[in-house]
Amino acid sequence: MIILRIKSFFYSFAFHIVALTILGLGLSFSSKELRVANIEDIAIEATLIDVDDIQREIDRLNQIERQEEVNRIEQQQLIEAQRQQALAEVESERKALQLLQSQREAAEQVADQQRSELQALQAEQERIARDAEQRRIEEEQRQIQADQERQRQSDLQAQIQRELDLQQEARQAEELSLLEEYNLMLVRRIESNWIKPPSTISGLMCQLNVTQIPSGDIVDVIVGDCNGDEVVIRSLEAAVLRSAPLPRPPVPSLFDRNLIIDFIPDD
Amino acid sequence: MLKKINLLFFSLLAIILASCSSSPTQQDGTASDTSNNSSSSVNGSNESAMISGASGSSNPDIFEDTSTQEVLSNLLIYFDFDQSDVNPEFNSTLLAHGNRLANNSSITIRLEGHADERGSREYNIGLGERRAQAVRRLLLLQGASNDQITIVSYGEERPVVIGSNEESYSLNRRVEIIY
Amino acid sequence: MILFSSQSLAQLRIEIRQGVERPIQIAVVPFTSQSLSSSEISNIQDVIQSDLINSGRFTTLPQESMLSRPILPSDVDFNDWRILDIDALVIGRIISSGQDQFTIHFQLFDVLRGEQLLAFRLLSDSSSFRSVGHKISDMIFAELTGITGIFNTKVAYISQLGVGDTSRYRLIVSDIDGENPQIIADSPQPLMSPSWSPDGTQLAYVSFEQDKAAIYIQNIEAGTRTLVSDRLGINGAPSFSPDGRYLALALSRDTGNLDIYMLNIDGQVLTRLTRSPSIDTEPAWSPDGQVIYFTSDRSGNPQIYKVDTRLGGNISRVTFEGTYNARPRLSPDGNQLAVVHRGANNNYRIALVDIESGLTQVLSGGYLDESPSFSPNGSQIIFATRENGSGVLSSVSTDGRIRRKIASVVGDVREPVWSPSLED
Repeated sequence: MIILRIKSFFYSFAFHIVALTILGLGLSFSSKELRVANIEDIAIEATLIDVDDIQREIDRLNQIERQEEVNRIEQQQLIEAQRQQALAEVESERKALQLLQSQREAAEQVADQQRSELQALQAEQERIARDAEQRRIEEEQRQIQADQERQRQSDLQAQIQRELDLQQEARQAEELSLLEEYNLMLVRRIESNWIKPPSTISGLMCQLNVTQIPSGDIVDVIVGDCNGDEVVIRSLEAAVLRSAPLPRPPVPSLFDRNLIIDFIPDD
Repeated sequence: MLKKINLLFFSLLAIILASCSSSPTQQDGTASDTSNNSSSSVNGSNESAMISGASGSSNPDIFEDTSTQEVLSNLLIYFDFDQSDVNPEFNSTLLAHGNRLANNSSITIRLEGHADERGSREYNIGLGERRAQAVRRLLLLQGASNDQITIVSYGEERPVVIGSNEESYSLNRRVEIIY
Repeated sequence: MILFSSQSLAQLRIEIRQGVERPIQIAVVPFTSQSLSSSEISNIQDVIQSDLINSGRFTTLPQESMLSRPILPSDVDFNDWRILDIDALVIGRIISSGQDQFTIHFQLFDVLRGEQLLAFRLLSDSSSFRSVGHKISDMIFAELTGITGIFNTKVAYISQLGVGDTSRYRLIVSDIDGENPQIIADSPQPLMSPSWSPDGTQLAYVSFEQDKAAIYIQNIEAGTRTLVSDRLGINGAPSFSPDGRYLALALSRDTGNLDIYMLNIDGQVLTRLTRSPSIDTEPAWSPDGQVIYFTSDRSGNPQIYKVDTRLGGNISRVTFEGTYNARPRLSPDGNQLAVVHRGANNNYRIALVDIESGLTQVLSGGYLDESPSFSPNGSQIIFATRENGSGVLSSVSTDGRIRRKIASVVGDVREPVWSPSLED
């Protein structure tokens, strides 16, 4: 918008400059042609004079001469005046031109100034925009860097956490594997001692609560929920009792006095 | 074709043997049996026609007595596994027995059906019965009458050979003709 | 996290998903008596031992391995038996209570739990000691396995002596262990197809004594018998109905071909159930008496079919696996058929057919196995097999796990039929 106004201003300014220049040139042509015509008229009159007339003539000539002198002086004076006037005119003209020139220059200067101001404005605007863009980019980059930093930090954190987790898992796995090992030992022992009666129904579910002491000896067996018949229940108790002493855990910490056994045979 | 040639061969052999034997023992009824043999075989089945064709080459009275005698001495019909169709090789035997019954209404026979030891026992009784019935039908075709023939099936209960092999089995899968 | 895991570790809990199929270890302490010889006593004690061993579900401890020989319950020290890995203990004594009258006391203990499971007194004369032994076996077996004992049941079978004209055929009834054989019928002609009456007092069978098949019913105790069918043609495959009022049988009559019939024993009313040109034979009743299963080769080879006993129609095929399925017998629960099945390499074996699904499971391993018959508790099948060209009796548990030859039965034997549960 601003740029458009500056442009139209510039065009009108240029038009005026051109108009003024044309006017100035017209004035100087007319004054020169006027002076050249006066000088040719004087040279043609001097060739037509006689002797009796010499005195007279001389007189007359003297007269004339004087007249001529006077005329010449007058002429000279006129010429001078004219010259002076012409000079003055030229001068004024020059001055006018000068003025015009200076005006033009001033106008140009103004235009230039305006142009440069405009340019400056534009430059400023561009600079401002550039600066804003720069700031924005910088802000963005700062943001990205910040993000990256944050990410890096969180990655690092995660990495640390992972390592911690792994260590934790390893510890747990070790414990779990030992527990699994213990469980497996118990399962194998009891399975190998359970003589499954023919009356074992499909879908048998029986829970036995066994109390053991650290030696693996069994001090109590309580049959919990069980859908088996008397013979099956007895076979389950027998399986546990036959398994005594129960296997000891791989690490003492895994020992538990209370052992829950779910009998859920596959069909 | 091969069987026909075989039959022809055995018939010729029978002729030779008959001419060699000095005194062929003739039992009662045998002569009349043979005389009727050729006549009944005309009305008989294809098999009997074939047999009569083979045996009726020349001088029937002399050799047929003996050959029929020999054929009649064959009292065993054998069967394939789980089958009750009579093999054509026993046609001559059944022809002879059928003719004999047809010509002697006073003669009665008993057909005993047997099976090999494989499979279940009562089913084998059924199988023995079926075999005996197959033999009976062929005898009836020859003109024997229903009341001349009684049937009993022993299934696998009375083997002639003890043994769990095909040779024993094939000998046990049989119908016995008992006069 | 750590707290949680350590908590979960504290819960010791396991799942048992399978057991073992090994025998229960039992010790039968020699019974004592003031007045009887050791051989007389052993009739009870040895019977118990061998019954339990023969069942395939027990092993017994040899006498010489015993650390103590308790006579009374108060004498029992369970640790003496636990140390020998014994699961169950039997003790007993025989007390004379009159002229050839004895009271047999016995106790069964659970060694692991240290408690008494059974205590009984049985009265008997010395001649019935074996039977008393079987009864005690039944009680022990039922208590420890949950299955009704079958040691006091009997088996009927056919034996053949000699071949050909001199051969003799016998119908024999013995204890299920093969001991105590009694000849019920003796003939130079074949005897076949014994069938127990539901009360176990009678046997129907086929005899060829009149040179043709005829069906007799014989009272086992009294030895009296009745000819129930000697119709024209075959009279075969008798089978008592569960209520004992009917005999299913196969007759050929004048058709020369076997069909299934139902005979009212008292009134001799005959009902024909099948009508086909094929061999229809070997009828077997469902436990409720409403269906008869039978062998028929109407499809071209023998297969099992069934027929409604009241409508006499509604015939449908039951077996589809293989090209030979014959002589069906129903399991006591009516869900399965034991059949003679021809399988791989043309071997004839005993197979169990699930009636609902048609699934067939081969149980025996011979080449010519026949005549399967369920024990009254449904846990075993007795059948005949061939060994060195001679028939022997064998049994197999219906799970196929325990196969056993009944060695005490000698001679060429076949067609074993398990008796119903016998009350006496």
